[in-house]
Amino acid sequence: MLITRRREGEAVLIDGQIEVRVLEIGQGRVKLGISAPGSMTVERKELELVTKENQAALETMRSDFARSLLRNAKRED
Amino acid sequence: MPTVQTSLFGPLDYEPSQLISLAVPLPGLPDTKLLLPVSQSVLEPFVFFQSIDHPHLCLLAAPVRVVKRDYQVGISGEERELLRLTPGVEPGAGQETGVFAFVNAAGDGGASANLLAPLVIHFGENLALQSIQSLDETFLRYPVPVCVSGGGSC
Repeated sequence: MLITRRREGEAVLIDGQIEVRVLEIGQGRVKLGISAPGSMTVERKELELVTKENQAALETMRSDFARSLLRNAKRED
Repeated sequence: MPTVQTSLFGPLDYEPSQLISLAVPLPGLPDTKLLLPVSQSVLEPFVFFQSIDHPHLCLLAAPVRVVKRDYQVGISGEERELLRLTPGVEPGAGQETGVFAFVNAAGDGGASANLLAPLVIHFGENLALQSIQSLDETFLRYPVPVCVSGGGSC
């Protein structure tokens, strides 16, 4: 992992084609501007994590946990 | 009354007014636009969210405060507009809104709830979106208390 200190307005360049610029530094947060070729997807890491978690959550319906809940529900019917 | 065919529950009758419309597609499930909440007293505190668009797609969820009592959801101004929430209405406070965490119980480690991206529902407008919070990654798989998931006492 490259660790570098940057000030507001400074940037890093990745592979000569992706620029990550520090636009604003706030309390506990930084605002970044990212320029990358259109063929590349740039997204917040959390979005990828949530995408995978939602897909994993679908599998819950095949779990013993969900089956047991559904058995109880059917019994009440 | 319309009926939806579901893989899990078979045919389900519903009132159109029960349907929740997603103001923003769920990450990873872009074709799902309408959800039908399925709840029964015996299932409490859990709620199933059955997709109307896809019979096989159903998500299990729990109210966030059941999973973590002091949980606070924060939504942006843009999300507030998408949900048509009037100023002063805070998600999770009162009957007008609900905040749920999708449950993942597919692994071996017990049930976990996604507190990183809760489903925020504005019942008054039948609108919902999954709001990604500024929290660390441990909230993605937050353990569901054993007493909630079917054993022991809290």
